[in-house]
Amino acid sequence: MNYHGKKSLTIMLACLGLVFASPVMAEEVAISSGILVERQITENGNSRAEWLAAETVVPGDTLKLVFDYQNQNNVALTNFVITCMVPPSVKAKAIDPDQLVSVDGGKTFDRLDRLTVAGPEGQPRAATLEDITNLRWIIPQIDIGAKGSIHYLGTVN
Amino acid sequence: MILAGLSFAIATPCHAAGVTAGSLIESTATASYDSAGGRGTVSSNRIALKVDEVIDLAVTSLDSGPVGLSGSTAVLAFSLVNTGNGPEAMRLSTRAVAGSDFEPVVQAIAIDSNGNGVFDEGVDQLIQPGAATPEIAPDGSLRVFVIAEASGAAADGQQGRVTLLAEAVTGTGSPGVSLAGQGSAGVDAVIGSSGGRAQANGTLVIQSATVSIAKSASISDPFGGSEPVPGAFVTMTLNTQVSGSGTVTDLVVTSPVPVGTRYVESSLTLDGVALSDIADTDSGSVNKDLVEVRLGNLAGGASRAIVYRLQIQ
Repeated sequence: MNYHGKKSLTIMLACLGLVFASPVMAEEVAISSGILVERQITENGNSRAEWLAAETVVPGDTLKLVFDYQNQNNVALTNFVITCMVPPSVKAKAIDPDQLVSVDGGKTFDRLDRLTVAGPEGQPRAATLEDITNLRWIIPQIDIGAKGSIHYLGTVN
Repeated sequence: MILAGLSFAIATPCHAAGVTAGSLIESTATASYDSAGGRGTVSSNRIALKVDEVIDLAVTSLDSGPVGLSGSTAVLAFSLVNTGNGPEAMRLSTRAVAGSDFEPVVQAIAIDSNGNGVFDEGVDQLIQPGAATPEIAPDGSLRVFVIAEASGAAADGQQGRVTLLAEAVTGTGSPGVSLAGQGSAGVDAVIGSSGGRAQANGTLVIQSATVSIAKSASISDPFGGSEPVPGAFVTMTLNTQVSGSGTVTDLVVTSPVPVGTRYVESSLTLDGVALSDIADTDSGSVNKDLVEVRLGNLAGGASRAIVYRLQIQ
């Protein structure tokens, strides 16, 4: 599961502040979605990968699709279930084995290694990263004012 | 964010097409939770990235080997594939290849307009050197023909190579270079791993053939000797040999009946098989002045023996 503590999230958001559009403000909790693109940066002859904000991508780009959340209520929130759809032109990449995913458009969720899809002749085959249509995270509790962030990686088809 | 002194490398994918240039990648999430007020739900904002156009292409030869040049021209076939993710026209040109036995002369470049896999003169669209093809869809391909002839006095078996070069009309350059606003639907174009250009070689091989005829005569006189006296019979043999890697077509061998002799009726044979004297469905015919045998197409290495008899008057 890719969610972090409040401190690291604050640092992350400070770095990525320009990336995210204005979050939707609900009465109790806010979720903000953002997309970062992996870019190779060369400095003094040395190359390294960094996650950068971008307005455009090309096929083959690696994306980090990020969702930040914050409890704005005056009580703790429990059983927080956040779900996203993998964009049709993106393939999920290297997920955590315990990650809940769906391969049927969000009807059912489970670990990827427990899921199957119909093969070319109708027989079931093991689901792969390319089959993932949705991802889900379950966070037991978000304290008052607490923030968190989750993400997954994807490749532009 | 200021990143002075840094350079960014945009991904330069080498795989085919992918998501179409100009399309959007959108991401959003929804959540549900328990709070004091019961079960609540919330949705995130929707964020979208636009997909730039990657300029990429590939050219490969479709010929399984050197293409024989036995006539005046030969046709080299190539496949031109748009491996980018946007529609793209490609400029076509040819180059000589150093180290060839001879330098082929390119007469024309054409695209397989009717898609039948062969060059149809007057039907397939000609592309002037440096001119562009019609737009090719992402992952689409065109079959391109290069029609070439030999130069100089190229000998049998010599090879000449031609390079077909294709360059994206939108632009070429180092992989990763971005061309602002020049992609399809107004997005940026990004030069892909091909650099926006691709090329492949095709090879012509000269396939010529030469014909040699060895003519011999043996005499049988009425006295059991071999003197050329009146009444003697002369057996004429025309050994016809084709050499070289090519094929001669519509080969016709004729031999005049010499003055002072007459052709012996029904004596004409080809490789030991009798031919009729009249012009009919077999390959031989004779009139009083001329023996004619139509050998048709013969590949290098073939030989035929024509035999007939004359009588000295």
